[in-house]
Amino acid sequence: MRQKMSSLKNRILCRLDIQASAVVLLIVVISIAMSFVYDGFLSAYNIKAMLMSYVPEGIIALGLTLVIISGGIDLSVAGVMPFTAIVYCMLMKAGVHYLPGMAIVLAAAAAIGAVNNFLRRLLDVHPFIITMAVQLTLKGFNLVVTGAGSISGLPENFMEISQVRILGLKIPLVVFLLLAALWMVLLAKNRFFRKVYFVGGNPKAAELCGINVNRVMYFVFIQSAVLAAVAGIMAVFNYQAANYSYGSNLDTRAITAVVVGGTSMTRGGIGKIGGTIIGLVFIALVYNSFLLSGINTYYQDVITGAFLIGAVLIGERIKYRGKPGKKEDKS
Amino acid sequence: MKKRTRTTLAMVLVLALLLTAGACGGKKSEEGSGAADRSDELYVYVTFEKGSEYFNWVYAGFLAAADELGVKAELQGPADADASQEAKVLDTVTGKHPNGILAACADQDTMVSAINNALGEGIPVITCDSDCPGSDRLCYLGTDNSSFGAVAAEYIGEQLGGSGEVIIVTLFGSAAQEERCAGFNDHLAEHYPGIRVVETCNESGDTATAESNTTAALQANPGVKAVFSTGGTGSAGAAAAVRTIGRTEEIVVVGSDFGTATLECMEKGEIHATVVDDPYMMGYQSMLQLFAAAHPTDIISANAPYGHITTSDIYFGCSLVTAEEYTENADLKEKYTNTPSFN
Repeated sequence: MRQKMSSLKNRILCRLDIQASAVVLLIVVISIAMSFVYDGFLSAYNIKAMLMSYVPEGIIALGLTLVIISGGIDLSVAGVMPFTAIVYCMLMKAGVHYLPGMAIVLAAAAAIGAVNNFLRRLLDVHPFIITMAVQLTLKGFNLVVTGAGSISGLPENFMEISQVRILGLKIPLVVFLLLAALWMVLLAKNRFFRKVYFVGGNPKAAELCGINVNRVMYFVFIQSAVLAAVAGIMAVFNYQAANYSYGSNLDTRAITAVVVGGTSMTRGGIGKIGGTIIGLVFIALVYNSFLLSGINTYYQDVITGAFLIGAVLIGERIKYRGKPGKKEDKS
Repeated sequence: MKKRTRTTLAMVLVLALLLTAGACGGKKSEEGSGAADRSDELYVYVTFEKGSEYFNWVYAGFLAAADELGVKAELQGPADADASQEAKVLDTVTGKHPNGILAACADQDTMVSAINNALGEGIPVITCDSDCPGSDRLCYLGTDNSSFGAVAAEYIGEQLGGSGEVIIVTLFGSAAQEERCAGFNDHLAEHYPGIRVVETCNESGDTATAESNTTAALQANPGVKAVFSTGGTGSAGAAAAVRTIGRTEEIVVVGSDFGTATLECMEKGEIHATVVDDPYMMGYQSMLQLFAAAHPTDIISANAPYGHITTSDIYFGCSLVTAEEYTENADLKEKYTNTPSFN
């Protein structure tokens, strides 16, 4: 009997992600507390505003989840997002229809992602350095091409499509929900997506198993840049304009969502899209609660930072206690 | 029995009359007591670069007027100049259904949909300092930025004796600071054609960036004789850059606003003068306008369904304070060194 109980306990503990569960519990507690304190918390408007407020971070966090699982990091997303928004607006103002314009900027973003991985391999440095340099380059480019202003006055056909609602939801929110569902299924079921786990867990072993690690890494950085481009396009849908200032600290917020959701930055090969969505909901909820309650938002970063430390502590001290750390193999 | 009934009836009637009279008297005295309880009313000031001294002065004025009116006030916004973050804040604040929103806009295009969305929810929105003319905001209160730039140009023109090279340090993308640049350039072109602006560099809303960009601009243009910073954030950065290249004695630095760092540089003689407007009054007057907008009277206004506020924009003046005036005038020091802060 005792053996059976112990086995059941082990099975439950095995299936239960303690970090994700702790974050879900916090989400429930904060939501209940806020609904008592503030009447409009559960209103349709506030829920939509809360979800909409983290759409760019959400779309980017999906791509970053794969990057972090692969053992890398991509800071260029904070440059790609405004870059795409600006180029997309410029193309439309130059007379390019919004659909081909979209294809052009997505292709440009894919090229930036490929450059990220190419330089990483060529220079044999940590992706932190390369992607930070690409972010700075793109931000400088954004300033130069916009003259540090904004681009607006977009064509009428785009203004009309950007106002469309699907089931009462704005297009950026619908796009995020669809992408989240797609990435979740693909990362769980698709063979190519699953290779990211093997590469992140142990690139040398993955290579020996016949996985083309470099090809997987190209894919990881390209999908991250393309998703950042989608976030940029969605910003244009939301604001009907583009400005060089978009995306300030966007990378930090997206990485926070990924890590709070349980994807490990210290060990590759660990993480789930579901966890990232939980992390996103959590930081969006914290942000929304601060604004609604009127507490100084300066404290928001303190709270978010504290939870980030908490997430890493839970991961290192409880979830992966006694398990070997990430190998320092190079792909 | 009949008599007792009559007596009881009479007592009830008298009691009823007394109660009615009491109630009437009570109502009368309540009406006579004046102001209604407005402590539940909330007015929100949404800004970018939240925490900057300039916007803290605006909020101090906004808050003082709110206290006078007996309503609540709140300050919200991102700590940087990311317009998309500010739009996000405004959208969330709209969900609180405040009685009015005052917005200082990081970017006039990005903020359009968030402002119109709030108005669509029936919330009066006005702008201050940095406008959003493409939106349906009810009115704008701000500094006459063209004159602001002209005041700086006049001082530099006099100091340089009508000829020389100048660098402008500004916040790219800020409509208010672009107007200051334009006012500065126009005044020089008209009154001091011998003075040439050789470079306009970006402070990016950060003093350290202002310093590094100005240093680079000064090194590339060794003939520069004056620097004008169109914003408060860049003023101390511009002064630090001049100090870094060791030309404090030769280059005239004109700053903007009266931030602590700017005032310290003035005391040390690193900033020769600063152009000041009145952000406190801007905040105070904005609150009064917003309150009026949220309280329509029986007479229909030009901003219907909102209350009686101006449909034209309101501009405030500006003036120049030199380092000598500042260091010698105790009243000026007293006014400018009591910087408000909000936590």
